[in-house]
Amino acid sequence: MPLAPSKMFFRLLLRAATVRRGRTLTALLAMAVAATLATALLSIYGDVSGKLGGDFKKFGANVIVSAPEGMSAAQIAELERTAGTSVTGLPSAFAVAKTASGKPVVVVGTDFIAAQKMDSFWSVTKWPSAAGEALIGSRAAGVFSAEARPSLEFNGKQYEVKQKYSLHTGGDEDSRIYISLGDFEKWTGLPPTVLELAIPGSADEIGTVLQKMRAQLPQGTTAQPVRQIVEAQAKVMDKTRFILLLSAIAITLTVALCVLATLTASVLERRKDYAVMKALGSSQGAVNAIFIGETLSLAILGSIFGFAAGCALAEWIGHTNFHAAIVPNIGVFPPVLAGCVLVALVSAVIPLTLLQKTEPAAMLKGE
Amino acid sequence: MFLTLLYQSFIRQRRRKLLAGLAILLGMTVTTAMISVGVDVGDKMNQEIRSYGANILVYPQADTLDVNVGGVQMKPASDGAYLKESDLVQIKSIFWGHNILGYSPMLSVNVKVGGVGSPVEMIGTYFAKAIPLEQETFVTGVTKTHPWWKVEGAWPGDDSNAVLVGQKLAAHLTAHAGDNLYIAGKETKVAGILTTGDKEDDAIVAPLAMVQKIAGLPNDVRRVYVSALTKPEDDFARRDPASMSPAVLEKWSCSPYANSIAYQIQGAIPGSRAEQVRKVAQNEGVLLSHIAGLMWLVTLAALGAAALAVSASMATTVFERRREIGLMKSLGANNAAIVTLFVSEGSILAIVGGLLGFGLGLMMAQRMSKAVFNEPLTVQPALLWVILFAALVVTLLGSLASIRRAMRIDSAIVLRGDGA
Repeated sequence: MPLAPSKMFFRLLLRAATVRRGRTLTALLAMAVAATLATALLSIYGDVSGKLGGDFKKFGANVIVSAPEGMSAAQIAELERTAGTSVTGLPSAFAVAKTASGKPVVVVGTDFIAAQKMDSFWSVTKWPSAAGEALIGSRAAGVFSAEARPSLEFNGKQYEVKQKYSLHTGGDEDSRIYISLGDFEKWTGLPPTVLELAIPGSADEIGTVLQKMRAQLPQGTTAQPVRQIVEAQAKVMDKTRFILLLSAIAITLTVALCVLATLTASVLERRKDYAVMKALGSSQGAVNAIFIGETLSLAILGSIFGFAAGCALAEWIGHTNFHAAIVPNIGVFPPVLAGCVLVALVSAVIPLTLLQKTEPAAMLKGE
Repeated sequence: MFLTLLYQSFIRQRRRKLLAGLAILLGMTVTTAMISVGVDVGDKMNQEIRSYGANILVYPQADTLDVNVGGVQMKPASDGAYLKESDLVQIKSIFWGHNILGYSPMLSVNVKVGGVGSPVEMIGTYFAKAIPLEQETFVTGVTKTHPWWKVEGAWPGDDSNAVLVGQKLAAHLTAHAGDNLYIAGKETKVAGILTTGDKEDDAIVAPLAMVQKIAGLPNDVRRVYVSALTKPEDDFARRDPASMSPAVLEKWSCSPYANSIAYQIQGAIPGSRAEQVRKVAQNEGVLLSHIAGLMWLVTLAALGAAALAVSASMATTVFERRREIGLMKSLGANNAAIVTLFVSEGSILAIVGGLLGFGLGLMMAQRMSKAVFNEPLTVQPALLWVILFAALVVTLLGSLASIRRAMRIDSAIVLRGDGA
């Protein structure tokens, strides 16, 4: 009993795959490896900004809002909201106080919890957590000499440091004394005048946020990007992404060409099957459908396996290099699948057009 | 006989050999390009990251505390100690002198400016000063150490009497590039308007010599910003040099850590204290190692892709020649002879493909380097041997499976034409 054409088609596909198992597996493997590399590179390329963004954030604030007249807590909260979700600012208040021996020293009132997050490069013996505790910059430590509980004077009011911890940064901070903002306001009555913000994103995104912020700032208050940080970040990020893109293109082209060569060869090898089918009276369309169907199913299977393996590879690279996973991105799958299908189509169509020009009889004779 | 076989194989199967050779060529091109770029990217990125500016700060050991709030210096100008400008050239003479990309001395003085009530800070520094060294001339200044400073107009010459006016101060004075200002009682030309996003926006920045003259402090500077190429910090780098034995200290000094470069600068300039700027030095190391690590992993991926390309094409060539192998066997060739033939063929392809791939890969790497960093690539000649070796290994490994299959071929079946 003759089989239905569609059943026959699938049977031909299946038999072609199982009879020549070795060759099919080689072709499938080539396809899958190509898809793996493409998936991994695309995932990394897509996520590298996010991953390096974490590194850039450690450079500290990239926007500084300064209000010579001072800022209220409500104003700070509003600025943080404009800056973006989950952005916490670091408010600071400044005063020049005198030590017991009459030497001037800059005292800064700040939010230690926010500072710990934003300024991870600060080297401290311990972050203060209670009232009366202070961070003494390494150069400022000299003004206190040996006093265990030194006191500071501002506008006739005294402030006693109950517990000293040391701070070292190699920058301006080394000549200052940091106390908690609560203590500072109680002691001096001065509000915070500076708000440091670490806004995530590229230079352009930061620029947009700055525009929005400037629109809502009261008279006399300014918001400025820390150009040192923002410009260097843009430069380094652009270069990294560019070089990664070039590498990804070079590697993907190589594997695509190699898959193309393998598949083309495997179709050409089967010119006898082709000739037999034609000799048995199958139409050109049917033969084309069978051969194209074969390479297409290879492409689809290969891209699915490759996508899974590529996600795993990207995640491994994320862990080894950034100590954070590169999350599988389903958006990478469509381009990978499309690429595989395209390569498969080309590698079936080229040999088929070549074969079409030859007589089946000549092929069967082995010429 | 063997050579004839080999020769004929290449002549008769010109197209097949060309294809296999092309696959090796392509694979090795990508490998060469990626390895060259990967090796170089650490150095190149280190240069890029230097756009974060100075990572080492030098100041007088006996200096008093800085008292500045919001860029307003409250310390009396007479207070504190100074470094000698004439000593600064020593910075380039330290062991890691070549890693010093630039340094900028700073000296501030408060001056009266026509049109402003309160005194204005005037900062003296180098812009792009040519320092004669023994063998070369070293150009240094804020253009090297503070690359984010932007000038509208022109940078003043280091020997000129022209100044830069900070952007906020210029807005207050409605001053433009080319105007004249009365600074400390003298008419001075404004070369440009300076934007930094920092305290310099409210100040005047002038050539160092001019500020030294106004302050009456010839040859004095207050602090020096140094930009140096450094190695990411590890546990060894954080050790205190004072507690090291001479042998360990030597090893420590011979690594370009920010700490050891600072230590050497401190030794070279009398009465100075040099420190790494932790904000820059600590973080750039992490960033750099992440980028370099990423490039290495991508290079590995390139190697994998190349291996795949080569081995796939080698597998097909043997498979297609199973009849030939059957004929050789039936004529009395043993397995050793067949293996030798295939290995020799593969090696010739690998060497030719590897050589050409190396050349093409270098050109490609050169292009990439030009496109990304706008700088030529430093070529490592030793890489040629690595590439040739890799090409041989990948080609032979790729043909291994098919050679084994070739050895198992039954000549009678193959010659009858019933598959392999």
